[in-house]
Amino acid sequence: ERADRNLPLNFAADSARVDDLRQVTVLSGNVEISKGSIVIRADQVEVRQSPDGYQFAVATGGPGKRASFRQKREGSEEFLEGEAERLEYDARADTVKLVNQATLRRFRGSTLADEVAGSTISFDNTTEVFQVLGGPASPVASGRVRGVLTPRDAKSSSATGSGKP
Amino acid sequence: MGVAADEAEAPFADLTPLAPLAVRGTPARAEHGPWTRHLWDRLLNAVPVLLMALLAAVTWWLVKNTPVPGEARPKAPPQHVPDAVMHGFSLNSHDREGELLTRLDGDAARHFPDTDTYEIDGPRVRRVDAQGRVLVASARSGLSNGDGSQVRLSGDARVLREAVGADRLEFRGEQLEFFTRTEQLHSSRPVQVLSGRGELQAGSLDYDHLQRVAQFGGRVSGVFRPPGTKAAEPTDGEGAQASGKKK
Repeated sequence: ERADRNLPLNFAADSARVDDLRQVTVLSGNVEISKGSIVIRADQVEVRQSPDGYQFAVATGGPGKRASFRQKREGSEEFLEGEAERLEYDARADTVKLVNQATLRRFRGSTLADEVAGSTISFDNTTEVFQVLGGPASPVASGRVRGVLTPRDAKSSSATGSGKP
Repeated sequence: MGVAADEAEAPFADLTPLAPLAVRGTPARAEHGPWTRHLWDRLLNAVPVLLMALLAAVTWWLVKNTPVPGEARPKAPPQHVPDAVMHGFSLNSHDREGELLTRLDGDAARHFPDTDTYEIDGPRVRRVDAQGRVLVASARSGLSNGDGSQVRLSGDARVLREAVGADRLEFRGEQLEFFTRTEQLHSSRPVQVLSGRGELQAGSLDYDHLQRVAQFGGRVSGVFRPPGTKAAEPTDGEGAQASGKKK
């Protein structure tokens, strides 16, 4: 079972502040962290290391920008892209939570398949389930949730053959 | 006897009288001989005078050159020349209770009085901090100030915070400034940090050991290893060359 959780978390940034005592690393400036199939880009990412060695990252987009995350499986040409003011990535549970002005898009190849927007979106990378919650910080004016889901047509679904377990 | 005197006179009559042997006042030989002898004789007469003149000159020169006690001689410009060289040395500094704080070993050290610095070959610094944690530093060469409170390590410089497992932290770089007293580390050149949890490469470093906070600048990149994987123990030991990790 290819869980991303057992893969190393790579990071790159303009500068970093490592607090060795509290095991907190603050990366700032063009930050990119990647672990397995998930890549997060943001202006600042704070990576906290739990005693048992798993990372918990909080990415913020910085003034006027949003943090983004992208999830792409090898072998499948489907991939997900999400953006929000703040991303919370829990490497142990392998989940990404998009908070405030959250949008999530699924692409098949280069065409946009699904798109949802809301105040908070949480995405479970293992089960590939995402949940959208409305709220004041939703990009949708009424604070509700909006989404467009495109049915998978016969040709492409067999091509990907990534049927849910 | 008188009569004998005349015959005595007669036989001598045909002899010519000799010149008087020495007559007071006129040199006996002066009149006869070539002019060079004449000159030579004059010179000989002048020798005592010359001697006296020479003597006067020497004493005058002596007086001229004897340093006047009051006058400060111009201090020689400080050249960068070692005044002390040590081989296989060890410098220990202790705190008031006598606890060993910092120990600086080296293959050789040259002390320069003008800058009060030590140039050290193969420096090895060992520092025990208040919590008993040990910092060990080494490099190919080092430059330390007079009291060893600042040591610039150059050439495969390493500072290792000894600890078990994940707590182990090692800084490596081309040049590291190790402020032993304030336990800080600085480098404006690329550094690599190896710890039990991962690795990091950066363009510059400022590490404060008291707060255990490291600030990295320049482009930073690195990896957090997933839990459970054994931290890749770099080849340890004094001068062992660590293999460059290809990421």
